[in-house]
Amino acid sequence: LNATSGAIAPEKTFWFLIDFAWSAGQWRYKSLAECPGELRANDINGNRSTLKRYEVWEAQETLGVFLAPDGNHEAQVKKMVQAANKWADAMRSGSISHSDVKLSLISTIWRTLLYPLPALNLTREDCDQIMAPILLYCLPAMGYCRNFPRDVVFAPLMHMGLGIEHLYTVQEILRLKDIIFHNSYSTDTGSLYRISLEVLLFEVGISSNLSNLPFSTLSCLATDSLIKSTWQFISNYDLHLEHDISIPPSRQHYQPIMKMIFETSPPISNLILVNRCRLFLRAYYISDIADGFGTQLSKNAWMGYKTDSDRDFSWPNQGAPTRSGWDLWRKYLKLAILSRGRRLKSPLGPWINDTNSGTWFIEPSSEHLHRKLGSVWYFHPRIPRRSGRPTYSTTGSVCEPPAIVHRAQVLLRGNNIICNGHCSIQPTILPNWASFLEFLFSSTDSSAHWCFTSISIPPDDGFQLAQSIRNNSATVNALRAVTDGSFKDNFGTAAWILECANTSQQMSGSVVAPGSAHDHSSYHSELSGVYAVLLVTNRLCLYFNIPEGSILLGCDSKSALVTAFTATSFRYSIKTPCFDLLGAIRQLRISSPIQWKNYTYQGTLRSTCCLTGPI
Amino acid sequence: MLQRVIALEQEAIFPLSAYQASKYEALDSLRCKCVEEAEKKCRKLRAGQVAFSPQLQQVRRNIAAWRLLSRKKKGLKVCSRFLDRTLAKSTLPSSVKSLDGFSISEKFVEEYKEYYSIKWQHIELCLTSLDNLASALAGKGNFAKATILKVLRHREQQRHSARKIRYLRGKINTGSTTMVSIPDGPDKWKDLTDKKSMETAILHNNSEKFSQSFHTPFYQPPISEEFGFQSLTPASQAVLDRFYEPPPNTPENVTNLLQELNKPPGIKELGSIEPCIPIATYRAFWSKANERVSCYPSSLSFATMKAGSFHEYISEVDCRMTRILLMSGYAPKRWRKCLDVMIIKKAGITHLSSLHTIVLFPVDCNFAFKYVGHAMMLNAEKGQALAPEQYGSRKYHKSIDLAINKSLTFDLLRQLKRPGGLCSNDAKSCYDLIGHPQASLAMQRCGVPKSIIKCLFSQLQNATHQVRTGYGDSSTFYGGSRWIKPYHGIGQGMAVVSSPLLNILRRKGLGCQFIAPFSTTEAKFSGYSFVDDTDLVIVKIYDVSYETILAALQESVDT
Repeated sequence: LNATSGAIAPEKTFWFLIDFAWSAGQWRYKSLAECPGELRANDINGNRSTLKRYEVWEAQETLGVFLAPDGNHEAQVKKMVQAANKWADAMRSGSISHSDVKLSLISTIWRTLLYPLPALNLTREDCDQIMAPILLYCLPAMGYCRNFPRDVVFAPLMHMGLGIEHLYTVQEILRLKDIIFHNSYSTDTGSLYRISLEVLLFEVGISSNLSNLPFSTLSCLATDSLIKSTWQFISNYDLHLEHDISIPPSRQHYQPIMKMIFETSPPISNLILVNRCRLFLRAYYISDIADGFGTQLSKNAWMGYKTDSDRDFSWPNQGAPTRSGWDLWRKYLKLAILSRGRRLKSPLGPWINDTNSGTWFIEPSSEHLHRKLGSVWYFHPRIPRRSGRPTYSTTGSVCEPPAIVHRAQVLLRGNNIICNGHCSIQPTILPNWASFLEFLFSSTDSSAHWCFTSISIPPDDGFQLAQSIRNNSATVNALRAVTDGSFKDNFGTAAWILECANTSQQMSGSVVAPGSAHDHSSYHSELSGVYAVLLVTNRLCLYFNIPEGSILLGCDSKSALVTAFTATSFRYSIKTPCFDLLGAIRQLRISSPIQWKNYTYQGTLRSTCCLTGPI
Repeated sequence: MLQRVIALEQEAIFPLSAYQASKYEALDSLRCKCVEEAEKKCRKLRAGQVAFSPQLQQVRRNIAAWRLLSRKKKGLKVCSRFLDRTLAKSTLPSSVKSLDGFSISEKFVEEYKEYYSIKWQHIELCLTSLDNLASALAGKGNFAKATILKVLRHREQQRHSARKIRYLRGKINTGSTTMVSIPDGPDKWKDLTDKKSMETAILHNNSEKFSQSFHTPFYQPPISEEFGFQSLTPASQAVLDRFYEPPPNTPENVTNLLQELNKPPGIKELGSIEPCIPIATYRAFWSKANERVSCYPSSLSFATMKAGSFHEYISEVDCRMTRILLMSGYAPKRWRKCLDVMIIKKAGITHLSSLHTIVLFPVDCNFAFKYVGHAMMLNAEKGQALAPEQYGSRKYHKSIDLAINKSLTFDLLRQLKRPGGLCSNDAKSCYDLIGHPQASLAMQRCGVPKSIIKCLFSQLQNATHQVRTGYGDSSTFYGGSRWIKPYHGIGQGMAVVSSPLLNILRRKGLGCQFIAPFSTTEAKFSGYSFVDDTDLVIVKIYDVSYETILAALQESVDT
């Protein structure tokens, strides 16, 4: 900062150091005394001053929000209650009409209270505490009894309520909007939300959709966070938030450990202890704690010894569980996973992937151990032993890739490598689709199948069209896509056509616009048509491996074209109509290998392209 | 006048010759005189507590006419033409001039009674009068009278309600400060309440504030000799082109900064911003301006500029006059004046060091700053010259997003049980300490041409600063064109200056990094920055000891 002629004001600068200690089976924050240290900075005159350091529970205000590293919101709630009281006192000192009270509420104090909400996870009780002085003034001033039933007060006007929003509901809805918005545009905030959600799923041990996870029983496994607060909200109000997070399994017949244990209905206290053991072992699927053959639980997992993991950078730290914790771990493993001894009830299948560098392999016929590092194979000679598991030398020599291999699970013991079992690798079968239509359905998420329900594909599966896309010159525009939407009686549909002027070959389709009748509009229908044609064309390019080309897209709705084809750097507000469709179109444009141009045409698709639409 | 302005614009080059400068000054002076003349003829609205309505206005005019007649009958001096004009505006016949003094007094009292009888209904009368306005607007536009009337009535109602609410919340503006406190011994403060002593104290304080960085490297040889005070030297060009070799013994932080001040490839592709402001842009800007915004008091104000923007000829003259300055790098005499307004940050705290200084520039100078700032940020955004951590003054970036990021970072630390450090920096006097050579380099890095740099920094460095308090504007000043080192500070704007600093931190690997366990999505940043409010964060991707975090945080703060 000194280089720009500026300086820090040491008296107003502060810092936090957050660290954790595991003691008596619990995590706690380290105090200042436990992690001593000071931070110093130069003031404007170059004098070195010590900066003020706070404990992790002491919230400090930055950008108008009090945040404490331990996540408590006491200071922020206090500030908001003070603001609410001050507002109510000021309003009480004068008289305004009944109708002006609500105007005053939503245009003044409500704005103040709304600003910090997306960064907070206040409880419903906190929000009630903040709202209390406001309602105490507003309700009598609006002509209602101050004890008017709160269900009616917070009900929307369309349901005969007073239309005053509850701070807690608004907080959670704002966060849901934030999650959707920031993930649509892949911002830093979006990445942080995503990482936090993934860590939460790791903590819980089940990577299902949040709405499918019972909050009341599993919430105790997750650390308090903004995402956990959202999980609580969507569980309480039966909402559905879909995500695409899934942990790739390493073996067939995989199951998450916690899912199996949860099915035995353990008490919550036991579930917490067992989960700690799982987190300590850095295991998610049963394959993470099974031996290389996939038939038995590994000895390390049974005894509670941590093994090397490639998940060090993203796995939550976990202190060593207590002896009673390990006893419970073994008890629930026996109940849920094991049959006799350490044998698994359902043996695991072959390994699914072998792409990781550093993976170990065994030739089943000769029991030779190999390791693949990058694209180079190494051979590790076996150390002859009379009994015990096969042992190999750590010194490897470069060798030819072996013909048939099994993937092996090994342990490093001093200068030896001990093979803990091996199993075959499921061969990667390259998908072979019978037709373009089959490819469309199998390569696309089921949520987008509405685009292909009524599609007409030429006999050559669109080969000529694909070649036209590749050869299409930006100036000639021989290949055109045209789409048109219709809306009638709260029902929206769209039809599209892909046509090559030179060969007269066509591909066409019609769709029912997604969403409920409430979402449908003529604009929504137009965008649905644009989305469908973009998706099908992108898939066509993928099917025929078209790396580049261009296409001209026509639509009779100028507004739909303008919004769908704005610069990809432009960000629509989440309040924009059809934000979801616009976001999906944007993603398709970004991922499309071809250049899209657009134009507005006059008339209807039926007359332009002789296509009979669904309406 | 327009022809003369166009002729000067065509011959204007960077730098402007003395002859051309004198021509510009003459034109500017003529323009100001014209505006002053026009301003004199403008009607000044002084709205009070009583809402306007034609009925009330008519009665008021009648009262004014009776008052003049009464004065005339008493033998006082009344201009007969003014009386005739007033009578013509009223509903009174000219024959009332022949009435005797008693009758006039009676009628005067009756008119006042009439006024008070309808005054209490002023709101209703005002709303009724909107009917006529709606008819007139409906005649002009495409909307139905009923729709316009509804909108007008709703707007009036809202305005009335908002005024009431503002009053109840105590948000009615109370004006500038009428008291400042200065230190008077240890832990003692002396209150200054008279104009002269307040002005002297503020002038002294501000003069010191804008010169407290004179000991920093860019204001000391050899760096100051290499770059000058506006960074328009060959060394500056070498920095931008990445060829600069700093002199021996240059402090490490200066070397780091100079390395980050080279022009990014994106900006090189985009080129410099255009000093030739399009007239349409100029008019669009002023048509949206708020005429109540303050500027340095002169014949030109936000109101006159806004009014001028609706006239093709005037807006063209105004636009071309500003263009000439940005193209030629000349700062006219009128621009070399500004006014420091002292704002109280917290109610009741009048300590001089706690007051916030807002610098008011002449109105067209203010526009030039805004135009350049806006174009520069647009260019920097397109050319990816801004640090992703900087959220201030950027489209799609909100301050609350930073608070969310901070909250999520704390969440992740708790979820992962990892050590982490956060230092919330408070930059001392933020904009007021930014050195001009560094600011100039940062602006050139984002595509601002040298002529604009010369114009804007000449204004900043040669301006005299007066002071505004609750007692009015001072006649005394500090600053001016006689200096050994010019006062620093840039008034407003920080994003382009702080971006290189954040880039240095990122380059050094000082920051926060998280990787998602399933999708391996990465979040990597050196902190959260909103204008001057910067939080430095240290979180390592692998589990490390708190001592490592502390050492990294110290390095981050020292950078």
